Amino acid sequence: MNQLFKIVKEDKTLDINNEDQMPNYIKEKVSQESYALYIWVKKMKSWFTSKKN
Amino acid sequence: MAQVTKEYESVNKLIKEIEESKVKTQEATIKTETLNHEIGKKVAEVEIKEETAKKVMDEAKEIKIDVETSVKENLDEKKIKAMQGIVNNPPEKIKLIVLAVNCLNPTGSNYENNWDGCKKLVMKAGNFYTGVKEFMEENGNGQNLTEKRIASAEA
Repeated sequence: MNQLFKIVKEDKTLDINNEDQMPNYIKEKVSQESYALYIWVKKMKSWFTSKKN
Repeated sequence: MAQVTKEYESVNKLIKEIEESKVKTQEATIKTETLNHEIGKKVAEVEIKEETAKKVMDEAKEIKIDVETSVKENLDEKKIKAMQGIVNNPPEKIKLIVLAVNCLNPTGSNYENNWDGCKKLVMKAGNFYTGVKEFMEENGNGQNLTEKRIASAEA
């Protein structure tokens, strides 16, 4: 996911500098299913971290 | 005189018994106070644990709702099947997302942590979809999630 953000951030045509912009970008410009999977991975990280604490 | 001595001894004995009793009472009071303090500490610890557990459960519920909504609105088995058409030449961004998903092992199949593993995951569209959808359930594969897998997905 960090690598994905790096690629998107480095593409100056996209004007994405913040990770918070990623979900919307993926939904609008990549694909709906990629968006669902992106959110899923991010949420699973939050879930795991919450359980661990 | 002998009677007075006897009375004196008796009174002394009584005083000694009272003193001993006082000491015992004081010791018992201290023990009770210590015990009460320990009980208070334990109750506070349990309350904190309960509060933490509730917080974790509330967070999990919220995450589950978010994921369910996102999956329901944007993903289904058909869409995953459609991804089978691009597995041999996937766009870079989709590839990175699927690689991250595969790291978390949604189907429990432990596919290799590379694109070959991802291909296997995508080719089992039904298992892929169910695995993602039911990941957080009690019998879902998310129960076996590890810090290492999270770190791989985040990389």
